Amino acid sequence: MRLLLHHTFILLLSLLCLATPAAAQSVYTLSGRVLDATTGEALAGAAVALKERPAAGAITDAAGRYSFAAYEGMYTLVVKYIGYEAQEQPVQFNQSISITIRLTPTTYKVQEVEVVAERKPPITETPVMGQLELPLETIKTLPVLFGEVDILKIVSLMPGVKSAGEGSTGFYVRGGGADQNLVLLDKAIVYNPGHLFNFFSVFNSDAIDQTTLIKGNMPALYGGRLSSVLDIGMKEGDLNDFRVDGGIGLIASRLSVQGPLVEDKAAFILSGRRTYADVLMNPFLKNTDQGGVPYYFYDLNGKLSFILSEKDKLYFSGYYGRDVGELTLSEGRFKGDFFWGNSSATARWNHTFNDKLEMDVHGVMSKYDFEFSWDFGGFTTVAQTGVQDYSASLDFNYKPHVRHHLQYGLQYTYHKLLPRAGEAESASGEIFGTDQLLTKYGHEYGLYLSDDIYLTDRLLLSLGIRNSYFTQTGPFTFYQFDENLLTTDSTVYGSGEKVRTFSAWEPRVSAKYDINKKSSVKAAFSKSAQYLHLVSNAYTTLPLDVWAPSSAMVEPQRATQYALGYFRSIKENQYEGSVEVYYKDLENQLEYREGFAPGPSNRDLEYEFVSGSGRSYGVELFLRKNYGALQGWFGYTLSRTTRKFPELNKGHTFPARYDRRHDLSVVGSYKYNDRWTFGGSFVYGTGEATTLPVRRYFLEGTVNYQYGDRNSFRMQPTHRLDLSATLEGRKWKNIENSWTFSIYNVYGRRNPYLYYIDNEGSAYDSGVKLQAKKVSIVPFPLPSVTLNFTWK
Amino acid sequence: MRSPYFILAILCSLLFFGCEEDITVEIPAGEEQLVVEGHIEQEASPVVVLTRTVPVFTEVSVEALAKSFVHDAQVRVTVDGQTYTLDEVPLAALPQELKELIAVQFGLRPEFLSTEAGALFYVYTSQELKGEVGKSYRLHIRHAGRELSAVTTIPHLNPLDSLYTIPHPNPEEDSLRQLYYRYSDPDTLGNTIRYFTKRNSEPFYPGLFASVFSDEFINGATIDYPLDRGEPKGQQEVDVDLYSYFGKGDTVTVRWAAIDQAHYRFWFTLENEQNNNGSPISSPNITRSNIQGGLGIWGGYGVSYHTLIIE
Repeated sequence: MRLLLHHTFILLLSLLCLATPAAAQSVYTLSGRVLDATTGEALAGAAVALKERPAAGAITDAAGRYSFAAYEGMYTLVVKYIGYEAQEQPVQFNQSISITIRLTPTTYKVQEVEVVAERKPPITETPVMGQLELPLETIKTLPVLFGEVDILKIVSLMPGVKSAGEGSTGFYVRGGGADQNLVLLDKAIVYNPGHLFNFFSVFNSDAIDQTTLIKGNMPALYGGRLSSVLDIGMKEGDLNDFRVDGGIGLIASRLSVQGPLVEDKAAFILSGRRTYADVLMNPFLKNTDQGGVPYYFYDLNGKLSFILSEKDKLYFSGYYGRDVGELTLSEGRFKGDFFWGNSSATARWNHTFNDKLEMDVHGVMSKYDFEFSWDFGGFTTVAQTGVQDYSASLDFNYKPHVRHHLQYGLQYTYHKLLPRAGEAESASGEIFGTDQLLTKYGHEYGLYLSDDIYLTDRLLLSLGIRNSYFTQTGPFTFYQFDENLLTTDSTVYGSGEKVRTFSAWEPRVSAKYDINKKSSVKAAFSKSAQYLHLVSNAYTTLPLDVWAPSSAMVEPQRATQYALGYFRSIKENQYEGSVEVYYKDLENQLEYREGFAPGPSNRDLEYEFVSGSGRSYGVELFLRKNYGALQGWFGYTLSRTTRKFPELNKGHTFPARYDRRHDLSVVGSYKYNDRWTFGGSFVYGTGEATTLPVRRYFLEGTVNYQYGDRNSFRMQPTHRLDLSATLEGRKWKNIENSWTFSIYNVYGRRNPYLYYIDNEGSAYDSGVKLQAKKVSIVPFPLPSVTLNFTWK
Repeated sequence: MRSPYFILAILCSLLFFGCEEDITVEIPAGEEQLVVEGHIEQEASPVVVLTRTVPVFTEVSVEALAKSFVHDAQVRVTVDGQTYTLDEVPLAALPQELKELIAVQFGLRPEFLSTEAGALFYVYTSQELKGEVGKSYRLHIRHAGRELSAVTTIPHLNPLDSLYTIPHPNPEEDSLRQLYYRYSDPDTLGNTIRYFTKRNSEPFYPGLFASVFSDEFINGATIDYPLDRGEPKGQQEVDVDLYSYFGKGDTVTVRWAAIDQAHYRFWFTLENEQNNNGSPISSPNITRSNIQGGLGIWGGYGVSYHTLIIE
């Protein structure tokens, strides 16, 4: 891998040598916005070009803005956006000018317009390596578990991203842990993006709009996580018309209402989703004496958008979601209630100073909490954990020149992290609790600057630097323990007093060289630091897993990543493809120590962590067809991910649990006619690494195990085919409707979720039976149907 | 107090409607380790059973069990600077009183002692050494070039204040009673307990899911708490309707054994592993043994007995 690193630098160097001064002819800038003529909404992804010089042009960004340069002269400006009438207009280039273009929708149906609304800049043009836009509307035609469209499951179909397991929304990017993904919903960190043990994500597909995934080499703007950014934006609401969207599915129903508050000036959107799993699951829940688990989850999303002026926009958005349930065992001898969920609120002010400078101000609150309370044996016990963040950020976007783009800003977050604390009250009112587990407070700052500059027509250099700083502050008591885990000493820190401080310089450098109009080479190098950690010892992250800050007990995680890729756009970007190689070194990775058994404790969980290093490298192939009746992609990753911990596996290197040699996904949708669209996806992954017993012994007559090397055993490979068909229903009055039928796991593959060795009996009694078992989660074809409707 | 993890494990098993199937897996043979199962309690001789681990899918038979015993090891226990050698003896050759104690300490059914396998059961023991409360015992084993060692303590006794029962939550189940205990914990932190129950003439069984308690949260307090009836481990299915309950008229004997921290951690991690084997929300964890150079436990018990006749 040292070789790869070496080659990366050679390449960077040679690219720099290729840089020649730009020709000395007058170059002017054409900039402006592309808007929907009827709704006034910005059109992202519209193609703006000069007919006479097809090489000059741009694709509009999320705000509908475009900007490009061309030599002096008379041209015809062509603006194209599928689903809209193309526009041509003459322009005279003798100075830099700004033109706003309003496109009229063609008379296509809404559904189709939305599908093409996913037009993206070609993969060859994006400066960030490993960045993928996820087209939500196309995704809606793909097969899904229980008919619930889930952006996180689509994410795991991308090369370099591995699903945490069958049906799971958890994902691992390029060998990083589940806690290393920065999942943002309108800039608010979502600490636990899963419902129902990660079977569903918290993102209601009706409420979300744009989703961007960045696999490592993230721009300096993002910080605090090592592996990836999943930046999800909520819909802004229709500025002109009221509309209602909804869906009725097997497991959940959704409803969204949006419309103008003041036409062209202010809009709202409100979305809700609730499951009826509590009703539906009951038949599956035999053998429970309450005949089922009253369990459900729901999500609420809302956003208000105000266009105060041409230059000022104001947004308020919020999310609130909960998993709620109760549990009764042994005819009421044990009674428990639990809930967990995220909530967030975002206020954003976007101000455009001029066509070169733009500013975003954010104020964000984000919270995750878990609570489980139960009555047993005369005690009422409450166990809780959670995270609460308050953050503010100021970000600037400055384009002094069409070939020069600066981003800089300042971010601050106040973290409050509640460990897994508990308190039990006896019938007589005595209280017993985890009095040594204290809420931890942290202040995290990030200061960043990134500069994208075209050194030549072909060479774009992105230089980014981020300075991050984290300090744990009191009130806090740092306990020390003896070998019997009894407290021997403690250091008390007062409110606001610094306990530990960490900081890091995080360079983020990348370069893009356009070999020609159709292909480019990109290389990137980045360093990053992460100050919050989540360690899970289960096959998936759990709602009661605890986020722990860097503190007197835990050092920050750090990563260094190198990546190199070749990108190509084929047939006017009908197809695009890439080959990327990456190498990543991880430091201060965390795991639970050997012999750790979860249970109530008055010692912080951090004492159960051990730290080590990680390494991941691989090749990712990606080929996507963007337009036409048949769309879809093919992704393949060949990779290796290892960990090395002095205190685990006798200090020997071992494969990470999510080390998967081969990971393949093929995803497609085919529009057969105006009414029928078919979708399908196929995934294949090398068997997961797991630890199994190799030997056994008896204690008190029952079987106990001696385990083999950590993760040295491979389960069977996983593969699965899912299919779907979407039928556009006939329009009835103002209601459009569509039916999505899907079958998850078409050929009933019994993918292994875990292996274990079951044992029964006593050696001193009836004898012992041992049997290896495979547990599968959805081992049969699971059909579902969802009705979606829109009224407007 | 029960761990929320345990409860969530139950919840999970309800929610996951996946399926299990038998499979055949090729597992490497692994490296043989020696396993100590040894106890010492007050006023009784130390007893050590020394076995070796065998590949997981080795045939289970009387011969295989007999072959797993490690013979001719040098086993010594040191206390107060004095070293005692434990001799290897077939169980059948021991006095009845010691046999009965071994049956309790090692979970042997009395019937087992008279079977063929029982005749092949060997222990290391010394009649010269009797356990004393408050003392530490260092175990040292040497066999075929391997050295194993461990230290354990017989803690001071922490007897129960009382035992009593309350009715079943469902009034219709009036023949079933839930056993409760009242316990006053000493002021010093770090008192840990392992318990066993005996119903009428049945053997003593340790608590099925959790046989150990720690005073981490109740240090110095007096608490009243349910004590689930001990049951044999390795049952195919636990009868949930009867789990934890005793019946009216039962004579209940509780063996309440003070243990040290390392001994507690051993059972706590072992039970955690057994309870979670096959659960999708946990991962294999390694039982924390107190044996240097091997597996298993060298554990002292400071035992008090309590009896209640349920009326």
